Amino acid sequence: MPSNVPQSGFRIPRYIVFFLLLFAGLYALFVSSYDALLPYFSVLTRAVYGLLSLFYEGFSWDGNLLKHPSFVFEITRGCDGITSIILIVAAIVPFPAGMREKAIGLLVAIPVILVVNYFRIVLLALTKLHAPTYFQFMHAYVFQGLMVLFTFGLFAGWLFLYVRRPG
Amino acid sequence: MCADLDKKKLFLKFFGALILFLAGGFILYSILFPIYSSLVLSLSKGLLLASNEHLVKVLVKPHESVAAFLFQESPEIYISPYNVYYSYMNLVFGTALIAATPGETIRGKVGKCLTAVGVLFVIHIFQSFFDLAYVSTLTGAAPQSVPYGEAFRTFLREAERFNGHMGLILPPFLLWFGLCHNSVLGIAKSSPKKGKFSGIGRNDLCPCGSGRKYKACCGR
Repeated sequence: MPSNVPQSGFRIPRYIVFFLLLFAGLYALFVSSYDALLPYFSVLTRAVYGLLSLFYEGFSWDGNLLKHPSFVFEITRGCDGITSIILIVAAIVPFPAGMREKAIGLLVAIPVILVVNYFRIVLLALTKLHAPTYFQFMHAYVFQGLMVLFTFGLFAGWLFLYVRRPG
Repeated sequence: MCADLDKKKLFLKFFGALILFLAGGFILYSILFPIYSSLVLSLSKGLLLASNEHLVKVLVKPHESVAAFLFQESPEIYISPYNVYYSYMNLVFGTALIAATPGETIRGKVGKCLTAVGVLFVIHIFQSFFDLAYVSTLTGAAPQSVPYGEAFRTFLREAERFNGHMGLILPPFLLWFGLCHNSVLGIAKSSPKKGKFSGIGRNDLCPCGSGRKYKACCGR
């Protein structure tokens, strides 16, 4: 759609610069605030335990450790979905859209990422339980790739289905 | 609502194309990746040797996901297989996103995909170099054989951590925005907005034929 190409050459680099600045700021906050995330890890662990204990016996939790007689599962940095949230926030906030679109985008995207990440952890725990030899492969490769695809899909969904550029 | 249908159609078209290009990318890069990977590893090996005179010998097995390196005192260290995976996924996602984005000609898409591969190639050489240099600082057997300064070690540690968190997702996203920003912003601009049909009252029926008031449809 060549007719839709913005005529102003200024907005594009500004958006990318703002994206990078916000991204760097959020990432710096993320790496410097590990302790602040510990309660979240505990809540996440407890929530995963809550679901798994409905169907399986033997699970328990302690802090950010999900325990089972056959394994101990530590929920820590990297298991939190925060990287996807940082990217989505840094992409949505400086985007040339209305404030309402941005707010709704963030209010929908962040909880959705957290919920999807929660089910990712549940599935990883089930993998560890039923197919421990595949755990590393699923953890490091399959679910990481799927989370990237999901994050792109979420941003594209917001962009295609909801955004209106202020006239 | 017509506008919503158009938007949904456009989104489904984009996402369907993305999935198709991802599948194609997985196949194409599975064939080409050994060559790409060997080039990246060879060049990062050269960079590593040039950066540290104490590293006298570097052995690379480029067609494997794990390459062994030998140092002066012969402790073996390994390149992180995650980096190889990240490089592969960067290529697949980066080019698929560009190829699936509407509003580009085929020629333009091919050119941008090639540009993306070129940029990723440079990124991956440095990524591989930093990964190897970082791992070399961890070789407990003879860490003094890798006399990088403390500041550089700290930088390498943070770079490794950053790569672990963001190496998979950030490069394709940045490349998509960097190379397709006009189309991406054009998607937003092509959405219906106020004033699309000039001269229509807010409470009139929408001229798109949806049967709804203009203010509740295209004029929203």
